[in-house]
Amino acid sequence: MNQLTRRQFLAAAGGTGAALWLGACGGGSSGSSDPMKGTLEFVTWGGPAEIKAFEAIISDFEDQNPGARIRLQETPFNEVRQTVDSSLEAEQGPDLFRVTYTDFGFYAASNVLIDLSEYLPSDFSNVFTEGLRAAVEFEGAPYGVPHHTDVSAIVYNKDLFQAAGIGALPDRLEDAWSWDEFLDVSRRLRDAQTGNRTAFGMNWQLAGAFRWLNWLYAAGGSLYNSDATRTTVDSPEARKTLDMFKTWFEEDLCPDNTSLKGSYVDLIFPAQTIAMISAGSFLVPTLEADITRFEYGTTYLPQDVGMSTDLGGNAVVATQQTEKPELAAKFLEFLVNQKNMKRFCEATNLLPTRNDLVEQKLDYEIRPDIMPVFVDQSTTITPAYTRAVTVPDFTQVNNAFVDQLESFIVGDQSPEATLGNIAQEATDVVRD
Amino acid sequence: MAVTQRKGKPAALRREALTAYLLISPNLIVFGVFMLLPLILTFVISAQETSGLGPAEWVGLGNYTELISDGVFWRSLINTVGYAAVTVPLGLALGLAVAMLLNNAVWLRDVMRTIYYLPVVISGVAAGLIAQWMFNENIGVVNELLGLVGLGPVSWQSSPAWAMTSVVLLTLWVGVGFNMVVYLAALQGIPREYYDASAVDGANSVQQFRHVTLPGLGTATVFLAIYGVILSFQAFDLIYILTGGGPGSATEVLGTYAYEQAFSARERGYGSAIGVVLYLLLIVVLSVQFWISRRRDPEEG
Amino acid sequence: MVAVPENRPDLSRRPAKTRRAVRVGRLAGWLLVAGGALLMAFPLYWMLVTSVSTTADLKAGDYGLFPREIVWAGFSRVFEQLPFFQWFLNSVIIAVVAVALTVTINVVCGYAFAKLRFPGRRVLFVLIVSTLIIPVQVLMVPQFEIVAELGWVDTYWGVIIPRSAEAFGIFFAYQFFKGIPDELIEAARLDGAGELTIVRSIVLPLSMPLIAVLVIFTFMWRWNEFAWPLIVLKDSDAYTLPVGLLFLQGQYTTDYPALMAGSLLSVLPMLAIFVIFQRFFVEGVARSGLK
Repeated sequence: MNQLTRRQFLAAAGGTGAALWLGACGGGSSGSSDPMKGTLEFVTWGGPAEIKAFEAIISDFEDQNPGARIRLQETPFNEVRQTVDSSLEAEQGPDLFRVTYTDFGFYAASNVLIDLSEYLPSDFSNVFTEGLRAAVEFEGAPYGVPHHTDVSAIVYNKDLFQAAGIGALPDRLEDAWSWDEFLDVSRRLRDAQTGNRTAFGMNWQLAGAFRWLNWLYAAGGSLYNSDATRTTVDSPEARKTLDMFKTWFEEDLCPDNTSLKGSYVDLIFPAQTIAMISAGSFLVPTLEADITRFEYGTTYLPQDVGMSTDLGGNAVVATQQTEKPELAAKFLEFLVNQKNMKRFCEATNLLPTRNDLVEQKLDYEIRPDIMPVFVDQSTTITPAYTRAVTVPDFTQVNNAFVDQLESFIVGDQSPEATLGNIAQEATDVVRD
Repeated sequence: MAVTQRKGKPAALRREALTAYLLISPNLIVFGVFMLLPLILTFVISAQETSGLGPAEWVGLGNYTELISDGVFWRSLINTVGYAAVTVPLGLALGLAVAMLLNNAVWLRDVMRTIYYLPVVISGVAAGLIAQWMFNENIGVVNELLGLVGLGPVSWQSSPAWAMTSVVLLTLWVGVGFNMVVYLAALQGIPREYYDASAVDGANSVQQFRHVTLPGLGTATVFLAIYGVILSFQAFDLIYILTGGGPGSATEVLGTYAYEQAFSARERGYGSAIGVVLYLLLIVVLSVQFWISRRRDPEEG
Repeated sequence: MVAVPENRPDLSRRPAKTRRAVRVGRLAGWLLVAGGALLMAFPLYWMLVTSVSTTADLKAGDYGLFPREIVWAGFSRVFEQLPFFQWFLNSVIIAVVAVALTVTINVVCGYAFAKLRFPGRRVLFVLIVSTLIIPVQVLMVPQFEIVAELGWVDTYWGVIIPRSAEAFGIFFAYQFFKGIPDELIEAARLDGAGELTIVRSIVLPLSMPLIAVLVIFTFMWRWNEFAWPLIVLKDSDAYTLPVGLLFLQGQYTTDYPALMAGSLLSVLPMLAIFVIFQRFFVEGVARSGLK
């Protein structure tokens, strides 16, 4: 950019002229009539590590497929949904885009995605773990590839745990704390603290509100029945879960400002005022950069009658507005082959979705020592849970979680009213 | 009106009218297609449930009845009115104070006037980004400075009241310069003889302010108050960037809530209904303002 | 600068005691307004300081009011990681074309409403000026749908055209032409000049001060506009500077030096234009408020 010549300037200006005056550039594949040649537009967001990893994979794909080009279209995360929706609405949608699992259902139900089984071998999705295969299915057909996942586990401050005299932490999934043990540890942490420090912070702020389900499913409860047609949220298990939340705040185990509309706990954790937080592995690169004054480690989310964690991470999908569906499908297949999924996850602290990688230890570039906990934790996601959080319009259910749980924790809304209102919204979303 | 007194032959008049239509037609077309039509469509869409993708469903007044039980909507509405009620009078008072102080030939007057006006020409996005960084409650410079004098730290981001305070401060930073320039011009329009005459009558400076300065600023004040209310009801950029409406919905206003519903939450119809409410509310508030300014000043209008 | 008649009362008629009090009062007033100016200038200063600092120092809260060393890396990251130059170009093109188009059609429209007789004049004028109050959020959904229908998403036209009938500009032009005596135009008519000739050879030369003010204000509005381009522009290569700045707010963490460097670069052209053409800004604002 520094040595921009006049020629380059004119080229830029000229290119701008052609495309931006006429509107020829926005979206849609272009190029030759050969179905495997041409340019695909791929809308994504991502931190620097993720973008770099995408670029490396795209570059390999282009080398192996002469005439094919993938144009990576980076968009800020906060705008990506608006960007993709509006350009699809304007019939200028991208060929490919990255999408969260909880948002996938909306696009699948809006009939804008490609059924990949029409273009790929019928068994191509067997390589993915059962739960994540379900996450990109709609009415039994695969409408995308599960690119990676990230799940929550407990990230704790070793110094503060030591100060509270808490030595050994569970280091096997089956040894995870029970809820009572978790409360016991939290109380000891609280009592050992000085000043306004507290024990625990839950990562359920705003879009993360659905992470309360981690506790509900561990308690044996559920949001929907197994085929996600009827809500089952109003249950004794759910009331037990709400009791647990109430205890956290009434006993000052959680900071007051970490309710559902409060502060993100991962931003507070580096300041050493919370001894442990629930956090996703995608935060590890950031935490590693921001934490310089203490040691931190990881352990599993507490278990009750069962275990669960949240379905974070993203899929990649192709749209019906592409003119090169075969090429788009081929790129998706390439993106999630063993080698590419492995290198992407290793560079970004994300978890793989292929059975052959889940069983294998990845060489994470940052803090490889704490990653096995997240990997083990990810096996606690069940297909029924996945179907529940990928119903179309799950966003609306999530918004109800924010409002209702906030009213329950901060206000004085009864558990009955809280669950009743959540059940109402959950029903509205799945009725025809 | 001067125009009606003119005389002309029918042919000349027709030519004049044709020219006029020719001259206003580009504006009329744009106005019709991108203002009038959308305004009508907004009402239509507000009676639908639509995500933008897929078919729209007719729900009549459903979106409006849903608004009534939507806590965030009421919070945004109260915030919108409160934001206007705080920033407009404060902005007027500060603008007037600075204008009065700069009205005399004080040292460095032109430099200071430039400085006060600079934030007006900065984009809302850049202003919001600067403020977001300065008000960062963990590492921002505002808390650092408050710490130097033994205050704070203030929870600019996590406390609802302080977050709203940061929005108000940013709004004032951006808007005071404009009010100042308008008031400066108005002050210079007050004939000097009025001051001399009142000085001869023995009026002190407070009395002069009340009986000479303030009446002389009536037109400017009415203009700034109305313009300020319009701007604060249209508020979007600053809040969207600085707080995103948070924490919770503490700084959510109708403008940001309508955008979020229409484009982020995929409720185009619901977002349009919020837009309609915003529009009607603004019309009501402006009508009240007009009514008050007319009653106080009958010969104006 | 506009010539400023002084309004302060004549001090020579006052007793000495009052005179001293007035002087002390005036010094206090000066200190007050100068302190305020420092406060007003501080955010801009802080933007500059941040842009030449390092992320590590800022994150640790380890900084002073003056930069210890000046690091330009924030600026180079803006250009390395983002198509910042393309955004700059987009902003310039949109602002310049929008100014040319908007000012032209608004000036002639304001003239027609002020000086020509035609049926429907009053109704149309009130209708157009009343759009001044419509918030962009009220119209954005259908406006977007119309722009999408026209195939203008991700184009310059999509940003420029819907905003080109600027009610404020029309109102301002109308006010200006009201102040021009009818006799000039009548005389030309008597000389047999056609209506369009009158516009070209009499009206336009007369309206240079008006055009200057409109050019500067329209440029400022288009350069700084955010909500509408955010809705119309989807392709990151089509972004204008204010929309592009969102990129610099990182995903999970923010690069403050780059963010402030980018913000600074985006506001510098406007600051420069303001300082150079300050007279027109001040005149424009003053007029808009007083007529």
